[in-house]
Amino acid sequence: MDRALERQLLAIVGPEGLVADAVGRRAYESDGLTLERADPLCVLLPRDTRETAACMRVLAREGVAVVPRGAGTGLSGGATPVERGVLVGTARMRDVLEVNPFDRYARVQAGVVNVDLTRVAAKHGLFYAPDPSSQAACTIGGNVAENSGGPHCFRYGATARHVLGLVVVTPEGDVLDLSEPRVDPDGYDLAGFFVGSEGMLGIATEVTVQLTPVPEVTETLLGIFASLDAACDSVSDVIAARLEPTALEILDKLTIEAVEASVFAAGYPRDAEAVLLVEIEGGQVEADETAADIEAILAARGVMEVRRARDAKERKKLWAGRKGAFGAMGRIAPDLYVADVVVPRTRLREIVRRATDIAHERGLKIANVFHAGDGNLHPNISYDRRDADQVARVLEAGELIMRECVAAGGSLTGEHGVGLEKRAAMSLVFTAGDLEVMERAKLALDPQGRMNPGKVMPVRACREVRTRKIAGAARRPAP
Amino acid sequence: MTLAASDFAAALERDGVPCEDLRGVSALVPEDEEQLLLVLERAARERQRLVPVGGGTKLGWCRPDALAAEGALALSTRRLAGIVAYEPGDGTLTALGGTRMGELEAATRAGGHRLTPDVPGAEVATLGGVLGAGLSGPDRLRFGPVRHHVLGMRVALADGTVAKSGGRLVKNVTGFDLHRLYCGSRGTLAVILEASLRLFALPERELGLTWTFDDARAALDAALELRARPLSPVSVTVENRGGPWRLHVFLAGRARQVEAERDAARGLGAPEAEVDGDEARAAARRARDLACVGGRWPDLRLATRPSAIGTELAPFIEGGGEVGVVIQPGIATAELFFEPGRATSRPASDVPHGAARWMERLRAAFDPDGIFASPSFPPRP
Repeated sequence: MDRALERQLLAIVGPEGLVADAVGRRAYESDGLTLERADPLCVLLPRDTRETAACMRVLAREGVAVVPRGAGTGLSGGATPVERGVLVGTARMRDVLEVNPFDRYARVQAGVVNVDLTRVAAKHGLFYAPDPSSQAACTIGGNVAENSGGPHCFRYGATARHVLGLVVVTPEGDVLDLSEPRVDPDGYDLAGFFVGSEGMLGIATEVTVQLTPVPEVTETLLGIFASLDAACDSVSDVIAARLEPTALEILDKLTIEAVEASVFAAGYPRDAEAVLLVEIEGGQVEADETAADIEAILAARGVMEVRRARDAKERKKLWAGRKGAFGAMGRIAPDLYVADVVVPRTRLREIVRRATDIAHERGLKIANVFHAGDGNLHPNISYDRRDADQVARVLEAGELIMRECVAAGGSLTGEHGVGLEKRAAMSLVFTAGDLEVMERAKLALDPQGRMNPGKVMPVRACREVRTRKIAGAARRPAP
Repeated sequence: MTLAASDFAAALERDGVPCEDLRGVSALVPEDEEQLLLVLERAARERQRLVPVGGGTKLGWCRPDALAAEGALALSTRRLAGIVAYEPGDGTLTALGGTRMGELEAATRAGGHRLTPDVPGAEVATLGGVLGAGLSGPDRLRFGPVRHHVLGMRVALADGTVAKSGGRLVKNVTGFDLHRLYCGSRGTLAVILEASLRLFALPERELGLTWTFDDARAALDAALELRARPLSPVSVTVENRGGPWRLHVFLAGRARQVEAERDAARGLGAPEAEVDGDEARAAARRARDLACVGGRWPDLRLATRPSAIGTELAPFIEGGGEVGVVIQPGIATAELFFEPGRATSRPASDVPHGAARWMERLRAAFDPDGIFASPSFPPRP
């Protein structure tokens, strides 16, 4: 990195806020999509909005591209660095700024970890609803960028429904303070539009979120099935019956095997072809009746057994298996390709089956664990990244599964984002005209195209990124 | 209407595009998308200002007299109507922008679904108009604001570009959610041609409870006290049109759950009135329509936090002159109707400088020639 630039940035964030050496940078070369890697010029870890804005002003002046990063748990390459660009991380912005239990909101810095927010809210009988599987590590700022979901989003909705306000540092380094929680936006819904924009419009440094009252009653059921088809059909039936549990999650046999052999063992029966995890929340009467209706649907679909968590400890155990499923998959192969697609909920069975066939036809191992209630599938393909041929087959299978979903009226991604991974596939669901309008909005707010360049938009629809070459950019800094 | 505007409308009429009077404003009412695009093409060429509307129920929001004097024409989508896809098995609905909310409500009710938002004037108001206005009903207390339920849109920009964002799926993060920008953009970015919404379950039972109080403070305190009780009402409204203050609570859901919640609500004291079933629905509609009495929208709308609603409202009520007050305490809004002729000091827009700049940049990117531009929206600091 250019020495003068380094000095300017160092003066803002201090030595703890700058990672410029090669070893330090390596930790940031990819996010959860490990197939894509790049070496950033440096990593900046500002402490607050003011420092972030000062860094962004310097980077704007120098024409340097910026990639925002939360905890790096994203699975679509949204936080993959760009060569000659700077990574700006929120890891040191971890303060909970305000909790207002009466008005049910909290203001946090963007680097606050998802589960920590719920922990703070719990003291007031409240919780933060979006709960991605990575919630023990992922940050609220990252959740904002990706409009993250999670199992309980079936009832409560994804991040966009819970963000009341934001502080955004713009690509030019200005501070956009939209943090005051508002009933309706005054003018355009900038905060709403920013959620899910995958780091392409600016960096959120503070987030005002809505907190939800902890429900009176929580019931957790585990339906054990002899066939994956029957589990999928049960979910379609629950949706068609307009029942509203809070979560409907399916794990297939291979996932169950991986989970049960791991530290996340939840007591799922290993001889089952699939389990359906159902959570129901609300008033006592409502929860009891909804549970009874769902049990009747499961019975009609030939469920082998339905277990009911008797207490919070049993519930936690059942969920530990689901939340730990991705980690447990490490037992099957060294690498895991986590696909993330959505389909109408009337077509779950056929698409899950088709995804399985596509993987098997290519000699690949596939494990399905997914947010069935939202039609959000995660066909997980295990592989070894050192095997180039296998990698090629995995990518081909991923692409074909995506195409099948689109053909069935579905879409490319339900919660992981487009990032680098799916940008070429954008033209499967959007016309050149659709993309051009998205591009207009992007360039209106980031005219130089410096924010997270090369993400989301397919390359052919994207204008050239006009970042100035930085003298000596390729040179390693002196130790 | 100015001469230029009337010439513009007359030329389009000769080409078969109907032109009608809509609440005192001349409105072009294309019969199909092709005609709508023809209007946009001519407007772009002749720099004719247009105000996209649906049924025109919210034209009052943008001073129709001033619009006409400035030579703007309304562009109504109300004939671009019809349900494109109602998928009961998936709980989603896609309809053309001009479809009336009442029609959508009836169709989805027949399939066992509840449509939100529940807005005044549903017999005339269109889907595109409601979304463009970003109008939520009192039922947002349970379901959240309308912008949370829009799954995708297809729109026409001022330059005739037709583009979609989102889709018809309940969960989807593919591409920028431009539909969230269009929602509440009051027609200044694009004309809404089609939109998809997520639906909710029709309740087994509906119940309406009403209490009366001598003053606003007591009614508000009671409403806020309900928040601490184990119930999840569809809507809670405090209102006054002279005489006592009323608190209406509407419960909906599974029959026995609704009964349990009613018992919890009765802790406030015996309600003055309790209505069930169709009567509860009719009462909920009356409470909903308080927000737009005889086609007249409130003179003032306050939006704050639940804890601040009483104090922020107090100076207006103490000042007198209001003839109607409608408060949604849980949502933290208050709407006031004043006697005609009373000057209302609206709180000035406090939109931050940077936000206003982003809004203007977006507006200019979508509509550089200002065909849909409004003098009052988006707000300036």
